[in-house]
Amino acid sequence: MVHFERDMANVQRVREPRAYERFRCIGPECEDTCCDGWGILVDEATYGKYQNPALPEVAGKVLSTLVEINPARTSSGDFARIKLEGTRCPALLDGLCAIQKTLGEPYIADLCSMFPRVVSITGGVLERSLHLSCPEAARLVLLDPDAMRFEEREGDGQPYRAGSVVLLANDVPDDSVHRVRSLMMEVIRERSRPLWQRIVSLGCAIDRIADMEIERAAGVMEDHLRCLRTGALDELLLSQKGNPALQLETALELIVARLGADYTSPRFIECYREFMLGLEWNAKSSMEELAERYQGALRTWFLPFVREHEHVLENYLINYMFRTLFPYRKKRPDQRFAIDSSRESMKNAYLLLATHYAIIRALLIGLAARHREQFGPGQAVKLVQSYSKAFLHSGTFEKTASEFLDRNGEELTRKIAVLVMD
Amino acid sequence: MPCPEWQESPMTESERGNRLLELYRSSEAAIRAAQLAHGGNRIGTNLIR
Repeated sequence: MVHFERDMANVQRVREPRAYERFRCIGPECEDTCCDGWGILVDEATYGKYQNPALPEVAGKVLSTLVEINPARTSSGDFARIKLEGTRCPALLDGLCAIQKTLGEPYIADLCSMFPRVVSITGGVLERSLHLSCPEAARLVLLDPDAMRFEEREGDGQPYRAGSVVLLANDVPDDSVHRVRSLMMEVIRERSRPLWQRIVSLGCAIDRIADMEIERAAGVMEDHLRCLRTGALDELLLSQKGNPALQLETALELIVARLGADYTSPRFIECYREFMLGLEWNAKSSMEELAERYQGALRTWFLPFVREHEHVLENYLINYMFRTLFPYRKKRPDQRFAIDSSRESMKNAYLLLATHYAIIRALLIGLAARHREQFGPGQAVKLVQSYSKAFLHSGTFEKTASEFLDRNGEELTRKIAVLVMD
Repeated sequence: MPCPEWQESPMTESERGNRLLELYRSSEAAIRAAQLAHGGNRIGTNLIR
């Protein structure tokens, strides 16, 4: 049961990455827009406001005609939806929201008022993060090496609408959850090992702490990090075998599955087209030829980029881990979230983190092949942002990815190693 | 604990080649649809959330 006022009253601390406070919507200057390319849900209270016949017209339209009740609603938060014009919100005018411009911020939906900000409460701590599906947020998080350093302070600081805050659980020990997650982020930052080894080693850690009480898991994670640093995991990590053809096949299967499932914004399609051109993929290509070009681009263009800009992919992963309360957050059937330390839930969380990384990495390798000497952080930001908009907000992709990878039924660590190994 | 390696695709070389061609054609079709903005009415479960 959610008690917003009570849970907000219990908030004692705020935790956020440095990038959060720096974020400002750039409105018409944005190269994408959050008012185009996906469904826009409207909460019940905002829907109710729009039914007032005394309201002035917005963008030449009666406000109540811009929304409809959502047939797939599960709560007051997704009660209604904007009736899109093609792919766009009909209230988008000159890069700005005509509802906000005409009536003020209280008249826009909870989700619109927050995006790309994500605010959640766990164990009395309010956490604030950013969706990378916003270009400005992606720039702030990915380009600054210190963007994902965390700041924590007493208090809350500002009022929130009830529908804008994700309440995860107030009865879990924040200190333990945060300690485990921080140690996992330290694994991702452990630059004595290549990034693929850090990701694979996370799978070993998940295996050790799955089904364990969260209070005990931090000690195991400390031991895991020590093992990674001292080389105790080297035998396992160095025995892994990469498979470029399988990496490509898996990425292509999952990308095509997503493209066929729902509308995809032109920005991602542009990136995907460049990936295809980079690998010189045409109707006559064999997988051996593609894999050879992919491996060549990996060595010649992608790995030098990663060495020069290590923080880009690290910050992507850390942002994902922080925003999703990795590895403990689980999406329930009613689309709300819960804390879950069961093996099945944690394995699924890890599999998704690694799969998203594997697809992004594969796409970046193709982009690196396309842009060669010119390949740099700008292309990486565009790819991660457009990928996030298409894949991380999809209502079907997670299930598709889990089912696809489960078909191979092998041990998790080896499976992920095959997909992410350089 | 020794772990089995991920099984190679059970498909034959010929089947893998055909699947790659299918993926290529699907990708090209998705790109064409996006360029023609045909995808507009298909917005379904991809949401601001």
